Amino acid sequence: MHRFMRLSFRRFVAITLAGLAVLLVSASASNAESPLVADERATRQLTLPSTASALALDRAAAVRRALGLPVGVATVRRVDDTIDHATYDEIITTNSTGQQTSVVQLNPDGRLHAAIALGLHRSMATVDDAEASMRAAAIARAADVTAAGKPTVAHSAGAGGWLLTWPRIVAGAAVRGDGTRVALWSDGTFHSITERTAGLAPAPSTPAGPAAAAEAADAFVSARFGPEAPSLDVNGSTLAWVVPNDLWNAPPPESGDRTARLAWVVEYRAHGSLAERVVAIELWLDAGSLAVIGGDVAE
Amino acid sequence: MSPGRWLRRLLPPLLPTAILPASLLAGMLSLAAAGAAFGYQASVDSNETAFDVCDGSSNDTPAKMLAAAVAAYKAMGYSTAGFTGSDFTRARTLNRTDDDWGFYVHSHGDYYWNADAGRRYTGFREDSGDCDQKVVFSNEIRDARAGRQSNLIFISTCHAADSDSTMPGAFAISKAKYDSAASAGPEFYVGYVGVQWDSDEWDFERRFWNALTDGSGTGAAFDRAMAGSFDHSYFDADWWGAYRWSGKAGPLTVSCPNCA
Repeated sequence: MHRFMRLSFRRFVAITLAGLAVLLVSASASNAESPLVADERATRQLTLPSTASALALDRAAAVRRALGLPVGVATVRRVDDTIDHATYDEIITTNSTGQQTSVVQLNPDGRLHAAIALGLHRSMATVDDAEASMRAAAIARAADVTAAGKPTVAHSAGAGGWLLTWPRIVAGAAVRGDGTRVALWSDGTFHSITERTAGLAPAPSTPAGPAAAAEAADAFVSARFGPEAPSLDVNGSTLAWVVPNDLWNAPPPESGDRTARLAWVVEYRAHGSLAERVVAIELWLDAGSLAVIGGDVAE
Repeated sequence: MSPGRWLRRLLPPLLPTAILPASLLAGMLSLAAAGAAFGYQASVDSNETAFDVCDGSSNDTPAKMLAAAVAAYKAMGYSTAGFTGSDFTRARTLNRTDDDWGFYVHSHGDYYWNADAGRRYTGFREDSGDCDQKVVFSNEIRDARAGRQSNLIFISTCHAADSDSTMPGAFAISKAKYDSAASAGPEFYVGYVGVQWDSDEWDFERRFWNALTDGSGTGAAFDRAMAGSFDHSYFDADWWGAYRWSGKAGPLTVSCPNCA
């Protein structure tokens, strides 16, 4: 029987009233709507001088050749990206049927920001991690992107195969989010490449040691979680460059400030009843003062 | 899933149950948002209490995720409502799901043991405004929806896109990747693989929504979001459904190179 025919009049009235409620809630919600997508997009288009346009198109064509991306009709626009806090020229290539086939993003100085091969790639073939590393290194060299040493290699569903990362290391510590990242399909075919380089604050002249950092982190957790603090076990700590945030009520960084600071990153794993609500937490402690400058939560 | 089957399932219930009353009400109340496809309902749930009050983190990311998802679904033409705190309950989610074409949730998610069913199912926790939060199991959503199709589903929880996730099936989306909506129907499911961190999820979602509402299409929006930088190098997400599809509410009625 057709679905509508099964609806009773009472249900029809109920759905109508529910529709009214949804409309009212939607109207109310729209007043508090995030400007993220509506008025304050994560990216916005800037004016691109014609001379820069020609240079970007030429450079993008060279990148596409180097990465084996298909040729097609290319369009360019300059983009201000508020997530990456970067400005780049984005070149999108479409094929003869109008389908987008690739995206190349170039910093205004011509360095590669990102390149992505668009479209679904089907292959039953697979390469192993050693072959994937070799291919990713070759891709980075072809794109003239920094990729020195041995990458971190991981299976990635989102990449469709492999994800290889060369972290940016400064003063012996990784800069979170920075470095080179290459995604390959399972058969080793290029999927995407990105390179990021954040600004860094000066490192403290005498960084605190791991014991002092652990003590400060434990004191914070005890104060913050009270009787549930024993449900959090340290899972490791490391020095890393992080961009401060306001988690744990840390003083928020000035608007637009993406300068990374050297910090002790202390990770705790939750167990018991607390694990029903949170999997793990990170505390970021300034490497000099050991003040909390942010953190993260895994849910 | 062929688009023919999609249309048969989608169009008949639409007119009587949603378009007529919603259109009448929209006209009377002058609430029609430009481009909104009234009747193509989307629900957006975000668990703010667990990640602020209950764990003491003072974490405003779930609130930002809620607002961004509501804005994005609206921009894609869904008649969207957002729920958090005591308004995001297991009962309300299950009550609304039969009418949802789009659904987003950010919460604690896992492959939970369902004592009633005697096996594990993927699920997520309600907010409920307190720290005693019930699990919404995928089999409960599946039963409530009774096989009805979905458009755009984003499960912003850990384990939602693991290879053994039972959540896509609850929304009648098979765990298969299709090149276009002409093959798969107008449907797309996104979720996270394994345990992921809030900061990375937030960056991924901002990029995804931005690209999707900018007209990139579902698969390209996913690729663009994945190609960003993340604090944790092992960040991972996955998708199923149609790579080339607009993400917009409703049946596959508009053909364009990057959306069908």
